[in-house]
Formats: sequence, structure tokens, C-alpha cells
Amino acid sequence: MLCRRVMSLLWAFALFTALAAAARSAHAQAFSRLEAGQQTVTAETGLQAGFVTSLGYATGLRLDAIDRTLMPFAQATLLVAKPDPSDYAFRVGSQISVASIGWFDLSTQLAFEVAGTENSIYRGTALRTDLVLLAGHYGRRWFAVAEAGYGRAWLTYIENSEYYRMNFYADARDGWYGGTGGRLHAGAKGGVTLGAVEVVLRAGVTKTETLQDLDLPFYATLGANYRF
Amino acid sequence: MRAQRGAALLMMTAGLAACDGIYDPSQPGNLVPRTVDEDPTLPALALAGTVFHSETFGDPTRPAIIFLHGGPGGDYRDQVPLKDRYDGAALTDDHFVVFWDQRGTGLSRRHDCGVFSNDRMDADLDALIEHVSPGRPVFLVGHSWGGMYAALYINHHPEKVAGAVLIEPGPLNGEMFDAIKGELHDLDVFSEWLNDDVWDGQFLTADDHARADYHRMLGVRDSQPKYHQSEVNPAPGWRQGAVANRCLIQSGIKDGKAVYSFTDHLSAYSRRVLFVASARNEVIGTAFQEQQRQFFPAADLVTIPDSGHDVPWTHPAETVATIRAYLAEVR
Repeated sequence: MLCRRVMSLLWAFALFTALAAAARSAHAQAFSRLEAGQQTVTAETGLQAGFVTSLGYATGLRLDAIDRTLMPFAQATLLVAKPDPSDYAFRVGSQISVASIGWFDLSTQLAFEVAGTENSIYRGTALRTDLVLLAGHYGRRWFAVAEAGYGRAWLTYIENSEYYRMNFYADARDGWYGGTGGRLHAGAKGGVTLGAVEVVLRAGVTKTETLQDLDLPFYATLGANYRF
Repeated sequence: MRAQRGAALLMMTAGLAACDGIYDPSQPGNLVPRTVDEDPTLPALALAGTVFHSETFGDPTRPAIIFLHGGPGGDYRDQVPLKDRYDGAALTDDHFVVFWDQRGTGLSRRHDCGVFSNDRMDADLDALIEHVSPGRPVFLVGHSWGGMYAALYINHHPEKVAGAVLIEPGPLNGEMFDAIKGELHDLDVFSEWLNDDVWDGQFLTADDHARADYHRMLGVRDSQPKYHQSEVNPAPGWRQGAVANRCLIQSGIKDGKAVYSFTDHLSAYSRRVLFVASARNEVIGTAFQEQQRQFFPAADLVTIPDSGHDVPWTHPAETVATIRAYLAEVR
């Protein structure tokens, strides 16, 4: 019980800190590529580990020292099948171009994520990372890239439900669990720009880190971004 | 900002220390109970190249009743009350009662996917029957998948089965499966249980038995609303067998079509069989079982009022009375 209270306080503090940090450097994920000084707000919906909707923000920051534009982002996601604030994800991260050769660009995206869930057997909060490689072409009016990524829940706080304890395993342990899950994904992302609006489609397949099947073995989302 | 981050990190570290470290989700005993391989105090039976979690009750010289639990991938915990005494009578008065967790599920030993097939399940039950009742036919009582399992066995070994009670069995062949496959699970893309299930993939992935079995619990309560199982008194279990469930089902499906059949030779089984249905099940209730009993030359059907698919758990007295009446008739 003491542990639960301590962790609740910790989470409240950590979330506040993360939100404060995000407010200062605000960003988003389902965009193509931003030039220095550009900003965009993003909206995305579709099937991705559930029927989800995300809102986000990103901007382009010029880093003269490495002659690159850093694209930090933030994104909040809710599971919207039946809106439930317990099922959420909040991520902050950044995208950067690693190499550009002619029309070809190789970029990488790294995000840190706090995700929550509440279901019939447990309530959980996961600390995750997500690393994505993006390879393809970014034009003035359209882009098309292949994407491959690896996401991992490094630490997850699990609180088993009363239903689970009463009916299945009374001695199930609540607490922090290390390395609870990892997912690989591979797919494509593409979009077109119409004025200030960019429409983005993402789709691909996903497996666990040991190539086991997931219950939803694919993802497909539609996004709309407004640049300013 | 730097001070804020430092304080957050410090508090997180202190929190982890206060929680006595970090648990391993793959370690049995943390999220799921230990099996017979990890807990030597569990009642176990080594047989057919595996180790089953098993208990017996009553006089072993009496005719044996072997219970077959649901799933595939469930366990026998919700059947245990059927050994108890109701209205002054118990199955153990006249029979030797055998409960067991089938291969790869409940608290029995875990196996890789390739091990699971209907032939393997047939061989397991055959070995169990030879062990508990050598040379003497047994009675089988199977619930849900357990009823299918009983039919599978009778289909191949009619001479070893003195009688059978099939409590709301699932489809006994691919044709029956195809008739109801769209009704078996609530696969509405907006359903909460389904979204919780796939969202869980962000937290836990089924990369070992412990995590896979824990994850599989997610669908147990809510995935089959048309089965009308009790919400106030849900049937308990010990531990699901996720690999057993998935791989045994896959073994009966080719190119998306169910190709299994447990009914090819049932017409040659001359002994009387009892089907039991629940009154509320909208998918495999009375009407469905009325069709299924036609596979046997002599089969009766009893419906237990005010019950859902978990009838052995919610209505143990009525279930035991029905089984006892059947046994008295066929003996």
C-alpha cells in the first residue's frame, strides 16, 4: 500500500515534469519533414495497437553545429473504441535526417513514452522507447518512406485487478516489472501536401521482439497535419 | 528544468527501491502461478512424455470418471466443486473421480507449439485412461472444449468409453464450426475487451509462456458475451495455456477453413450419451446441441434452466444431479 502511494506521487510528479518539458519544446510524430522554423499540429487516427486517436505537435530546430534540422515532437494518444482515460500514451521525441544522397533520405526517430492501460486483469503504466528508421524521398508536395522500428517497454508498473486475484491468482505480485514487452514493426508512410495541410497514411505489419504474432498484426492510420 | 529532471529521477529511483526491486515478468510465480515443473508441492502425474497437474477423489477400484476441462487452454479449477456432495449424494459415492489439467495448460508442464495436435491429445487421454483404469472402460465428462475432446476420443476408441456427458461442447466438426464461427467471439472493432487486448501489446508481449498465459487472461471474461457466463460469480481458473490454445486451434484449421472432424465414427458408438446445454447460451446452447447430438445413435439432451455456458461452476448441484441420473441409467 505504501509502495502504491509512493508510486502514485512519483507518477504525478513525473507526468507533470514531462508535460512541462513538452510545453516548452512541443512536437509530433506523423509528419513528413520540417524545415527550421516550421511548426505543425498533427492529428492521427486508425488501428495501431487498438483503435486510437492521437494529437501532436512538432517543430523544426536548426542545429548549425551538425548542419542538421532537429524535429522534436510530442504526441498524446488515446484508445478511443470506448473513450477511457486509463488507456493512453504520451510520447516526446525527435526526428533527424542521418544522410541525404540526391533524392534519397535516411532519417531516424527516437521517442520516449509513458503509456497506461486498465483492463480486466491489471492496471499498468509503462516506460517505453521507440526507435524508427525512415528511408525514402521527401519532395515539395509529397513524400514516401519505408519505416522500420523497435519499441520496448523497459519498465512497467503492474497492479493486478481484484478480479484476477479473486478468480485466478491471489498471490500475483504488484510492482515494477522489467522488460515486459518489445515490438518490431515495418511498413510504409506517405503523404501529400495541399496548401498548409499535409495528409499522411501509415501502414505496416508488427510482431513481437521474438517474432511472435500479436493479436493485431498490422497497423494502418490516417493523419492530417497543419503547418504554420 | 535540470533540477526538476534530477528530482524526478531521484524520486523514481527511491520508488523502485521502496518496491523491493524489479520483478521478472517471465518468472512463474510473479504474474502467473507456478506449474508442476516449478512447484513440487503440486499434485502431479508424469505420463505420455509430460507432467500433468492432476487430482483424484474416491475409491480407485470404482469405475472412473475422467473430467475434461474447457479451452483448449483452460484448467479444471472450475470443475472441482463437482466432486462435492449435494443433497446427500456425490459422484465419489460410486465412482473414482479424476481431474487433470490437459497438456500445456493450467498448472501442467508447458510445451512448444509444434507439440500440439489432436493426435497428441488423443494419445494423452489414452495414456491417462490406461493409467487410472487399465483394461476397464471409463466415463468421460467434458465441458465446452472438453466435450469436443471427449468426442475426439470416442471417435477413435469407443471400446474404452463406458459413457459420456458432454456439457455444451463446442462444434464437433468443421462444418458445425463454420456454422457459428462468426458468433463465437465478440470481434467488434469498437468493443472494449478487444481494444484492451490489443493495447496490452504495448505493455506485455507473449514472448514466453508466463507472459503469453497472463495476456490470454484478458479475453476470458468478456470475449464471448453471447455465452452469458456469470458476471457476479465468474468461473475461476489457475492459469491459461496460451500456446496450447493457439496451436491446438491452428492444428484444426487449414487455409482459414476448419478441417477437423471428431464425428466420423461416432455413429458406431452404441452406448447412450448425454448432452447438457445451458438455457441462456445464444451460440452453442440447446438448439446447437440438438443438432450435435444427432452424431450419436443414442443421445439425450438436458437443458439446465437459468444457466449460461459456465453451468458446471454456477450450477454444480444441478450438474451433479444430472450426471448422477445419467450414470444410474446407463450403469
